[in-house]
Amino acid sequence: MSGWQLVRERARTSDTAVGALAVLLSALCLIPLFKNLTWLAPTMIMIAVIALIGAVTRGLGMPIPFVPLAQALGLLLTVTTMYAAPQAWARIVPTTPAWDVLRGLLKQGLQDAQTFAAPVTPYPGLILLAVGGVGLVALATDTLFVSVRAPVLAGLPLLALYLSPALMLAAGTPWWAFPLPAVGWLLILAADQRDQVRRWGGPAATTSLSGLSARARRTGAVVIVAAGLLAIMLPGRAVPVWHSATGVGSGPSEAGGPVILDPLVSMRRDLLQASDTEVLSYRTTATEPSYLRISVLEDFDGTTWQARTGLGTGRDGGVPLPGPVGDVAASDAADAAVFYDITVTNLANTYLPMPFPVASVDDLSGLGTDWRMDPDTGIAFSQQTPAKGVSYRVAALDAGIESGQLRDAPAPAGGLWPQLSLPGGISPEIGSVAAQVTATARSPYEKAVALQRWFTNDGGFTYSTSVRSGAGADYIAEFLTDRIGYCEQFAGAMATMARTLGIPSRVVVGFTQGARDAGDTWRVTVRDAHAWPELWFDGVGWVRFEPTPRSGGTVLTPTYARTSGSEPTTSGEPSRGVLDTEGFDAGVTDQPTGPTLPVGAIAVALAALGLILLAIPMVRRLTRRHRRLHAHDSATVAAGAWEEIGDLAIDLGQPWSMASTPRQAAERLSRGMNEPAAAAVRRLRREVEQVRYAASHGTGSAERSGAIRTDVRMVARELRARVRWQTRVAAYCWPSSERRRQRSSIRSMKPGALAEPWDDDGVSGVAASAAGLAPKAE
Amino acid sequence: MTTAQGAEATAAGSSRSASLDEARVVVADIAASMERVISGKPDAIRLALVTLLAEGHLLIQDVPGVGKTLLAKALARSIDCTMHRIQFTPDLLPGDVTGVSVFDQRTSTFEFRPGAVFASIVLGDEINRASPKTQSAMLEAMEERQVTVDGRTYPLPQPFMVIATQNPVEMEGTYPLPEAQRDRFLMQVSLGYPDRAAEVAMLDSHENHDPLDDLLPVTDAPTLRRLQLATRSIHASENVKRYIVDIVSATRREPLLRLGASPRSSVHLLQAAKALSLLKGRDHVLPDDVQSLVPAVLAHRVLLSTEAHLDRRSATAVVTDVVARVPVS
Repeated sequence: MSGWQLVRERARTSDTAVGALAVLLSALCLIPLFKNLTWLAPTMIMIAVIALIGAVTRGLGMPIPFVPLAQALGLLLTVTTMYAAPQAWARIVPTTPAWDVLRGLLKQGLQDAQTFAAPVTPYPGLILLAVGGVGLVALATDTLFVSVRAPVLAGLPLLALYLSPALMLAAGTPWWAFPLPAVGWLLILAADQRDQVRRWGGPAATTSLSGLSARARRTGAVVIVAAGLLAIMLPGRAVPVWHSATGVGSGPSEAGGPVILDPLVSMRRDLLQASDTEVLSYRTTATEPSYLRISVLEDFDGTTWQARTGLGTGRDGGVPLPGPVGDVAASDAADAAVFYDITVTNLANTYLPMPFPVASVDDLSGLGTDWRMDPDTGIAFSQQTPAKGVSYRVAALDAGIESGQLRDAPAPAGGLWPQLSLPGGISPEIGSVAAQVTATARSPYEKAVALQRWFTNDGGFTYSTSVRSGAGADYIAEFLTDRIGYCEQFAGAMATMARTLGIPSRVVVGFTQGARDAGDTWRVTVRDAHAWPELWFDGVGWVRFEPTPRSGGTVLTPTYARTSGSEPTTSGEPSRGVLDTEGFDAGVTDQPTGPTLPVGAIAVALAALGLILLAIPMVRRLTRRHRRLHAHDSATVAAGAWEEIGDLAIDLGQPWSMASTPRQAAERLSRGMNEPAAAAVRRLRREVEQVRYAASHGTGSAERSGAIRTDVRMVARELRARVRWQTRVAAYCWPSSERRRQRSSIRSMKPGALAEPWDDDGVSGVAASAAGLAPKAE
Repeated sequence: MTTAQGAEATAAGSSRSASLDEARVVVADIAASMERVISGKPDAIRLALVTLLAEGHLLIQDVPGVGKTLLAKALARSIDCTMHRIQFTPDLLPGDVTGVSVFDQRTSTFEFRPGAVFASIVLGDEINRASPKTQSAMLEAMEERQVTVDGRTYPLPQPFMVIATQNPVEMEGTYPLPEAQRDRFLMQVSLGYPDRAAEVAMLDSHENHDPLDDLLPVTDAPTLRRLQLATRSIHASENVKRYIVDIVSATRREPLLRLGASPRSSVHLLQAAKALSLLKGRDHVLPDDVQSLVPAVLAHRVLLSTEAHLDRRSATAVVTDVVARVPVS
């Protein structure tokens, strides 16, 4: 009977169902990632399909290696019929057009996953990702548990399901997310154990039950280790969130707006950490080009700055591009327009970097039709298309704001501004500091400039990306105390303080104007990502300020806001690119040296966790060996030595059966051994027989234990010499005796010949003459 | 350890080894003696000797004419003890086996006339041809080692061993032994046909005279009794006892068996294993002893399920498979 057949005999339909249930439980972890549950039904169908195919193919006796292939095929057909039925042949078999549809959906899903913050609206692409991913997990779990019969390893795919929300949700997973896959895994273990008990009850049930408790112990240990590691790894969460422009942290629950978030961090971070990567380039005649805006965050809930609800999510507001946008273009100063010919080379977001204020957009080459612009904020966005590779021409107004103009601007009338609203929970300290700093200022403009100078000069703030991005409503207060941070904090703090002073404000995320390349060509790299506040002045509009004290970069204080002492200090500032990768300071992505945990570290920790899990059998094996061979009395050592030889034989794939008597086992083992080793086997066999079966086994001495150990070493050497080195390594690192101990020891037993009744070394005379004759009772 | 203790231990050891040596020599003598008559069946002879040492009874089941009776006779002849032969027939009465009280007119009292069972070795020939009533009288005597007639109890001699033969139950004119009664036999063995050489040798030896006439006793009843007592003192460790119980209870869970082995069979298996150890001159039981005796001791006590019958599996094969799955403790 081949090993596969053995496994198939054990593959029970109920196990398949348990595996599917475990996957379903784990899939529920994805709930927080989506805004609604439309993804759940197809996912459940997929799980059911995989389980059904597994059960049926195994039931029909398909060779085990082919079962996953059949399941993979089933996955493919299911996905096809779900998402590309019209293009598919017979609505189920994927044809080339169906492939294209699926590929397009998949690409879109990946982009969406990159673009939107959780919880996301389940667009088809995202559902496809979820269904396909869960389907793969179901396939892996089913294969590991039912086909390969490695229930412990079957926990790994479930863990992967758990990790996806754990890695994507900035505020961590909900409390119920971990128990779900854990319970699923325990169900699998319990089913496996129950199976063993059922197959071998009765007196051996004591063995099985001890195995059960050993399984329980091990499971507990693994869970504790895993939970501990995860707790260390994912404590304050923190996966980089682009939309938390204040640095005040971001809870997934609040993240509803069209933010620029990159949940699939690794790819983007790789891109962004190569900080000289060009994002876009443009040509303009302006001497001091505008900052390029990507997103405007107007709603502040005390924790997070977010884009206004509805903007970009409804996808139906705004002015279609290209075309004139904004009132300004129509009114005056059309001749004052400055043109920007922008080419986005490397930006995956669905936002176009735009100067401000925009009069018109045209010459969109290679764009789809879904680009729109919100005139209120000046933000250009698309439904799904990423900005990468897009070229367009923008007419921006050189507003020509002068400080005099601003100085005369009155305080905005009324308190109805949404950009003035402050949440209830923020620290009153912020307001008092703002009032203190602007005590001598008379007009809103002077107050704004005073604030900016306080941040850049007087306040003693230090620019550093290596601070934690923070969480909680008190973060701004903390920032004002610690006075260390980067643009996110500066922009958020200034905007908040401006609101306490009655100046409407908002936070803008985007890029600085970049560096002049040659002539009127400018080049913007990831280093130039930035966040800054915009304040409203009646009669003038939204005006940019620059509170971030940075030197050497491309940060530029607007001319209208410059004061005699307001040039940024350079003392003690890290120069560009030395320590803080400050060019990319906007908090656009995470900070490599910051408190948020880099994905690399998570990967390393996961790998370490995996290695620890994998090393468990080896460690247990080594511990067991030491305990056996170094017991105090020689009797225990003798008994342990025999078990050790047995385990060693099992590890090395040598013949060994639990149902063999020591004599039978020794005989079979020493076949083909050199004489000293065979003699050592015989000595060990005599020792264990003495210990186990004789009336008295003599008093043990240290020498006797030593001799036993020597014999064990000799036998071990001989056994190892028989096999290839690969087998030796595998036996050491992944000892099958440990796995077998965990499962039933019964399974691998092969019925063998019984002891020969007259075969005994104590036999002589006529008894010996009869040696070799087995009783024939019939 | 003081010198005195050491000497004591040595003495105890030597006396034990003396009894072990004696057992081996005696048993070897009996075996050699029997082998002169029964050629080619050394294993059956040894199983018979194991049964004798274990104070059990032996059931020999085989087709007629393969030497069942000869085996019993040879064993009895090799030991200097009484031996009776009962030919079971359908009209045999229980009293013929156990004995009857006869009224003595001269003394006006009842006098007990012992039946055929009063002997050290009793050969019950074709026990399955007797009526169930007679069978049970015989089997009660085997179990109790005494006979009660009219309220008086008469002990049977020691050693006492019944060697019963039966034809396979398919044959005509037989009352198969109920399983409860088969359970009383320590072992059931089959002789089987001798191989060619053995059969030729048998023809030679029977050519001129009955070889049984040449057999002389090689030991006597008191010696045998002593060996039986020595068998009881053979050490069986907890491991061995657990192993025995594991095997026996595994037969009860075996789906191919309608009825597993009884607790009495555990006792019998242990006794037999001890006897085998003594026969081998060892003072403790090894799992090998147990394993090798399982087919002979257990196979006749279990009932095969319908599936096993359909598969034409023999009880021996099923029991052997069971043993091959029980971990040795």
